Amino acid sequence: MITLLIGKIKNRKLLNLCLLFGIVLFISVAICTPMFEYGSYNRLLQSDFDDYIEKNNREPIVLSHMEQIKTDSPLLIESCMTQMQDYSDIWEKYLPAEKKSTLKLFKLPDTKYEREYDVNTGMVGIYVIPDAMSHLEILSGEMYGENEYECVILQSTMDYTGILSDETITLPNIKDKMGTATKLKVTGIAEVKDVYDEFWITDPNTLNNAVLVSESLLQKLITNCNLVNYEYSVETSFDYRGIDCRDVEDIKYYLEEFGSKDKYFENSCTDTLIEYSFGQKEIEVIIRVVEMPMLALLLFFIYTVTGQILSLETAEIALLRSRGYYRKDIILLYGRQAAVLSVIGIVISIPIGMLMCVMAAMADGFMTFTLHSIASYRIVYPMFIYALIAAVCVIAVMIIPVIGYSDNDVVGNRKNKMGSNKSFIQKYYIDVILVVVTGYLMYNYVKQTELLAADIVSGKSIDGMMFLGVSFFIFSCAVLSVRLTKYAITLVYRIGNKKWAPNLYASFLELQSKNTKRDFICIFIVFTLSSSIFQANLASTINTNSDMRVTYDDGADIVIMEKWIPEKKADPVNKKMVRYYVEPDYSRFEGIRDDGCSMTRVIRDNSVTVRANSIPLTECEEMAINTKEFGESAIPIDGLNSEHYYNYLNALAGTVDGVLISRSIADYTGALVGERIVYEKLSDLDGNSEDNKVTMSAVIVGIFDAWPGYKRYEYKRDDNGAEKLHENHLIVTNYANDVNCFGIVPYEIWVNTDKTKTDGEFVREYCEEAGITLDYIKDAKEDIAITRNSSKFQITNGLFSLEFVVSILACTVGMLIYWISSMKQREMLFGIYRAMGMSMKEVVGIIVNEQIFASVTSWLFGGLFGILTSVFGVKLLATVYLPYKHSVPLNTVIDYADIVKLLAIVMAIIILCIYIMKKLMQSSNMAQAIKMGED
Amino acid sequence: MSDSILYARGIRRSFLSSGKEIEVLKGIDINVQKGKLVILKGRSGSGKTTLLNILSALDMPTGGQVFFDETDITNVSEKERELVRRKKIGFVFQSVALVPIMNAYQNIDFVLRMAEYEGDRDERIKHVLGLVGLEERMLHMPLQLSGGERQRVAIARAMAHKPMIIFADEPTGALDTAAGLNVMRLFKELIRVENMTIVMTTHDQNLMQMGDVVYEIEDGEIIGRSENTN
Repeated sequence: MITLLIGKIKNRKLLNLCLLFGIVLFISVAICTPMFEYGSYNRLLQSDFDDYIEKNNREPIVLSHMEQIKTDSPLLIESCMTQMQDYSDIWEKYLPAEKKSTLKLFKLPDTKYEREYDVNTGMVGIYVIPDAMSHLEILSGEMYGENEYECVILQSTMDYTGILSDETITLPNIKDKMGTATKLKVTGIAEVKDVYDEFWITDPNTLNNAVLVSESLLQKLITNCNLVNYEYSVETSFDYRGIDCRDVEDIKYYLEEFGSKDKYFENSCTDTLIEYSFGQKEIEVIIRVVEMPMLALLLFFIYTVTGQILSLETAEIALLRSRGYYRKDIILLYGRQAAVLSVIGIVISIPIGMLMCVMAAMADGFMTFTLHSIASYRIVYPMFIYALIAAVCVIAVMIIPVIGYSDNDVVGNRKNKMGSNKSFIQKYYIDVILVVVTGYLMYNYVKQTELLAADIVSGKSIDGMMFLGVSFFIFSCAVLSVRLTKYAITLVYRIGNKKWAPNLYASFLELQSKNTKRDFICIFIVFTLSSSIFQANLASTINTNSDMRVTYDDGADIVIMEKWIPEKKADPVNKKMVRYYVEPDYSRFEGIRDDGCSMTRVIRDNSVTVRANSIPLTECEEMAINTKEFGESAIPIDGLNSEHYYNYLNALAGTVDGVLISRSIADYTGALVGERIVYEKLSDLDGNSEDNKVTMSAVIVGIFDAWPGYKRYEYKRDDNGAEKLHENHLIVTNYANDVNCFGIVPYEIWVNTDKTKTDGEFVREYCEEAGITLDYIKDAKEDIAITRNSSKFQITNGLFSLEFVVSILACTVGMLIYWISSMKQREMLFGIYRAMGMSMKEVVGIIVNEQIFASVTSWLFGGLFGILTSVFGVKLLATVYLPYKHSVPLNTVIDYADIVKLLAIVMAIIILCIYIMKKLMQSSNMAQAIKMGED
Repeated sequence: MSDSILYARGIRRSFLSSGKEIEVLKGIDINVQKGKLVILKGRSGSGKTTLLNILSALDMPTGGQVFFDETDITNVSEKERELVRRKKIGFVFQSVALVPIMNAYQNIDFVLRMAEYEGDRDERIKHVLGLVGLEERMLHMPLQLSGGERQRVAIARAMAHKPMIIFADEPTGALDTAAGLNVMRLFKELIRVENMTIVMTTHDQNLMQMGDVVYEIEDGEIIGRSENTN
């Protein structure tokens, strides 16, 4: 049996190699899946944690217990510290993460202080932070002495309270048994030694009234002054980089357990983990639905090649049957062959699957790869389980056609060959029905795009059928293309029926004959090309729309905000100190303009109250602009408003007290152009009482739908964690008028870097050299890069690229095998043609004509259906990635350059196939086969 | 020689096998006259098919000359030999008689196109199919025909473009005796009606009497020639 098996494989080396190729691709994709999933989940998890750090500027996994206690008698700080340590130890014991540090704070409730030389008083907190001094540096003065009535304050406390080094503060509410108020000498001003020090889980600078004392002193105060109210907190941070996606559920479980057992327990990561779980489900669906068609395609490939081998081995099977082999023996023989190939396939597929995973992980655009860290992609044990399952699938798919062939005898074969010239699919119009059904399915989804987007925003998981529906539609179109190709061939054949040269005549008759395998190859080409074009357009749509939205949201290429320090002055009327701003020298930014950029000042205030038609709208945003400069510096937003963008600017420029209002305000209040509105905002920095509010009246000169930097729609989480749509309102006023009425306040500088080399890095460096401290900088290019680096984008791009490479490989090999074996099968027929006087050139013409009408027509249909599906379906799937409502509506972007690239790749493959076949034909036995007696 | 359509002189053909040169034809002279049914008889391996290949411009001899229609076809280009095969010769093959993707009508149409037949192709196809008695089955695919019917279509195809000569290699080899005899009767009928010349090989002794001239070949040499005068 083994000899027979080896003989069988050797006998059809080329086809078995191709079969092995398909098996390797299939098992590799299967192996790649768990590795890619694992890596993607980890990547998503880390990216969620990184986002948390970016937004909150603190460690993402911090477990804490914060409690205010009141005791009957003075407490021993040490016992409280031990209790705090116990909490930390328990968390460390159960949480599957490595502990980074623990920060314990013990303090007295905020208490009033009095200064020696200042009548102003305030509140301070007396803190004991064990080991704090090793992580602080004394900027002036010295360290407090143990047990002495001495303290150290942080610089932030000094800035906030004005308390200075060497000053003694009195705490009138902390009195000893004799009734004497406690006095503390400030021996030094301290600052955090290293801003990246992990010890400071909570940035001490946020404790802007902290007075640090020794534990012994505080214990003495507690005892002497009979203090019974305390506050303490323990925070433990864990290394998020070491967290594995597989531990997330455990972590969530333990956090819930800690919370249920300790009412003062808090943690910083539950929201991040919930966010992750939601994203993980999304990615799981995306991976499954993108991979499914790819796996189906490869199984289809394996099935086709197996069928090809079997069709060549029909005689051998009949011979085995005549020698007494039962049907089950034949199935077993082929089953063993499938098993041998699958085992070899598994061995080869492990490294290839890993390579595929790495390739997919490195994609950050469709077929665009960048070298970056792929450390999160590791070998996981389910890979081997997947490999085994894949091997079983391969064996099953290889055995299915054997079942039919194993019962074939000569009569049966002949009956099959004598069957209808039409396949079952074409005879009963299954292809047309499939296109109608899948088209309707896709149409239904497209109709519900907005509803689906709302579902995604509200946290519902993605409906996988959206993706599969598109794949089904493309597949149905590919099946239909076989019928359309046949119609085209019949039409061309009939047009020149009487005139066709003999080789073309033979070729057209061959093309019109029933040939399931050729149909498979055509379906393969159409499906591969259409899917790839669709995926390229989807990637292009997502990227372009996302880039446009990011740029629109930023408002300009670069937006910077300088850190302004307020100054103080006495207000003789209200008898208080008020703070105000002095505009720093704007000319310092001229260096940026020197580079050829245009820039402008933009005042933004998001606490404006607008009244129109007596309807008040609070928390509106105001943007005060220099119209001319703004027109040159902001990103133009053509096509988003009913009028050209410049018309709005001109209208505002023409009316000093004019105002442009957003459509949301107009809709809400019913305000019209030409009517007046009033808006009010704070005139200075101190307090938000009605006294500080200044009201202005302005005439509406325009109503806009979109404005650079104006986020009309915003999603905010409700109490249930679901995101709810919130509409923002904006008014745009004249800069000069605004400053005149409300005074100068910090403004943003919007820079247009168009056609210059200026970028965020240049601006940063420039500001650093010019001694300008920036509060923030927004760089549209950087923001675009961040968005494009989002896990969901990258994972999808990676999968699409992988699918394209796999499909193209399978398609190329599939085409070559089919055409080579078809040529081999027809070698004798070509020999007869040659014997009848047909030249070699004419025989090659047969193959070329068949290629033109089979492969090239499929190529054209592939392109056509790819574009057609993109036009109707891209927007639907792009919604999954950009579900949020935005002033810049989602538009399908068809990148014809990408389509031409894809078509060129497939055409190059077709030409390569024709060339290889021509070479093979010239070296074939055909020349010998023309002799009689050798046919 | 005026009635001679095909004349071969000193035909030799040798092949290399396992480094050794094997001489299959050892200087054969043969003369085929117009309107005759010539049979080459001999056992398997005697060299009759090799001779037929050389006579029909499918193969080149190692030595000797073949004159067909007064042209030395062993001394012309491959393109000219193709033209000869295409227009002046008809073939009946032993097993793969017909092109499987073409029905009977199309098989004949194909040959007419090859020969650039100038008359009404449709009329000619129906005529030749009528001659072989298969006009009713002209739209049947080869697999839908019996072995005998297929061979009759092959004969109709071979004669459709009015070739000067038809070469048939064991045309009855795959048929039963009755069907074989029918084919031979058909050949005789074609010679009578269409004035064809037919050269065929066979090892079936029962058919010898139907040939006008019978050459007996053994070990690459003609060892006998007989004419049937009936």
